[in-house]
Amino acid sequence: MPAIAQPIACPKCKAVLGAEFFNQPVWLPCPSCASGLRVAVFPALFREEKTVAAERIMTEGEASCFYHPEKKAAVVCESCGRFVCALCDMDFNGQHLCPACLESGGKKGKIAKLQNTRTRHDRIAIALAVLPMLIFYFTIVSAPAALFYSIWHWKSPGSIVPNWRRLNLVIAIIIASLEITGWVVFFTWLAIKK
Amino acid sequence: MPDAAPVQYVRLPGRGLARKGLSFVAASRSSCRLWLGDDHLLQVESMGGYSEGYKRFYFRDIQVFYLHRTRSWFVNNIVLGLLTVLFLLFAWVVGETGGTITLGVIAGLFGFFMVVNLLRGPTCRCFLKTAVHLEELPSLRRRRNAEKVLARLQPLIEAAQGAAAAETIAPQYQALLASAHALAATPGQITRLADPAVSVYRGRSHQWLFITLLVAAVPELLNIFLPCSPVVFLEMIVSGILAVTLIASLVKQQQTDLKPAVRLVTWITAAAVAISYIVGYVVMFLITAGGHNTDGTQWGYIRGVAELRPLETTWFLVILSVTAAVHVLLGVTGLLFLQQHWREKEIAA
Repeated sequence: MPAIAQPIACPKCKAVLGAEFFNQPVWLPCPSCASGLRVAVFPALFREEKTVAAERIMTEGEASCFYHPEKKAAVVCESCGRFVCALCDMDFNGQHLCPACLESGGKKGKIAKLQNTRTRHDRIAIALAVLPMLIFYFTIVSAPAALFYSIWHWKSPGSIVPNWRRLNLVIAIIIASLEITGWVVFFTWLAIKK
Repeated sequence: MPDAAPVQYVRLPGRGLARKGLSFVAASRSSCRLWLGDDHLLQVESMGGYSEGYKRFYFRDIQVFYLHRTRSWFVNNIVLGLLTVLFLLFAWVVGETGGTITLGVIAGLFGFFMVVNLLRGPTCRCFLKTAVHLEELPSLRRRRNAEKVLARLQPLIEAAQGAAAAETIAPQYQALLASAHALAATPGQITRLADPAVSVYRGRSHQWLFITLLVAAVPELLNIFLPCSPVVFLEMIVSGILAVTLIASLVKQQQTDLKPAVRLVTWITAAAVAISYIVGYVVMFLITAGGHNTDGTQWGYIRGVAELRPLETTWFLVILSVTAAVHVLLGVTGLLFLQQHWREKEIAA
């Protein structure tokens, strides 16, 4: 049985709104709390989600699902080529994938659209190079660490949205190199002085 | 693993902080921005700048886009404006170059924030509903940005789902209301949806708050007729207790089924207490400027207030009378609404 969509309610007072509020170009007051509202409603609200049922194999020789041998194969996984039934068919952004490929794609980061988190190595490198300068003695340790971190993560994936990842890494490398040079000069000067 | 070419994202206007953790006091905050993908809207939550979380809202799944007007812009302007004026006043009267510069800089900062807030424009909250959740978009807290984003998204969503014609939406929505056994709200008849995030209100913090409000009126009235240091001291103690019970009530009432009228009285009390604190500072300033020897200590200030003699000082008499009246009014109203809330709960049970 398809799930019934919830009526549209005012986000503040939860009063159920009428259709006269929808897709209006102006702000209308909520009939309950009088706060201004603009509500854009789209056809997806009224779309009934279809439930799929995998068909059983009726005749011998019919291709079966890799995961459910008793079910009839409906599609081929576009990643691993396994036959899968309608139940196992994961329609992901127009691609038909089996559950295992979808899971591994998300975990291993092979499907960009399944990625939910990313570490900003470039910003960590910058922070490692810049912040210890507040107590500059720390840079004797942090500068090589920042240099190593920047080079190590040179090819690591950054943010999925446009950003200055490479530039940040270059800046971190330059700052860390300058700090290291500074320490080298300082110790050389100490050695010469003695 | 098959994967399409990387999505080219376009940044949308707006940036905002998302609160996480507790409802009243945020345990953590993350900065949010919206990006437009080829077939989805991407919300990027930056956690401390060192890691990013992504939420994707596919155009084909978006059911409703809400914009809800808020009063934060107006309230923030008033508060920042008052603070600017107050610090300018202090800076003008303090009569010492160092103090004048310091207070002037503070006033300038508040003034700057007020101008920034003014320029950023009126505020709103923006929600996006899909079949499985209702998500707030923290980056769209300014009406100008929210309207821009809505204007940009609407054709894209309609291209993915088909246009939503008014003549087809109305009967479909009526059918939806009928299947959900709900009626659209009209001025006389309001139907509300149950909020799953709401819990049952338990505790007596509001009762204590309203009783404290009534008690607070006693030393204020006493101060009019019997002005002396112990009465002023008592007034300050009760005022402190009032602040504690108020904070406890504001925390306790979050996301509960407590009657909206009780919450409103609590928020009005918070505003009244905030104003009374500001007035208290002004009184302290007037006492200091009026030549009373307060020797810079709290006890000196108490003595200074006790020496004011409200029956001989009209402005102080007005302040005390109004404060006592407001406290009694809020206390009585709050207790009545609270009693009504409990009665309704009993009947419902």
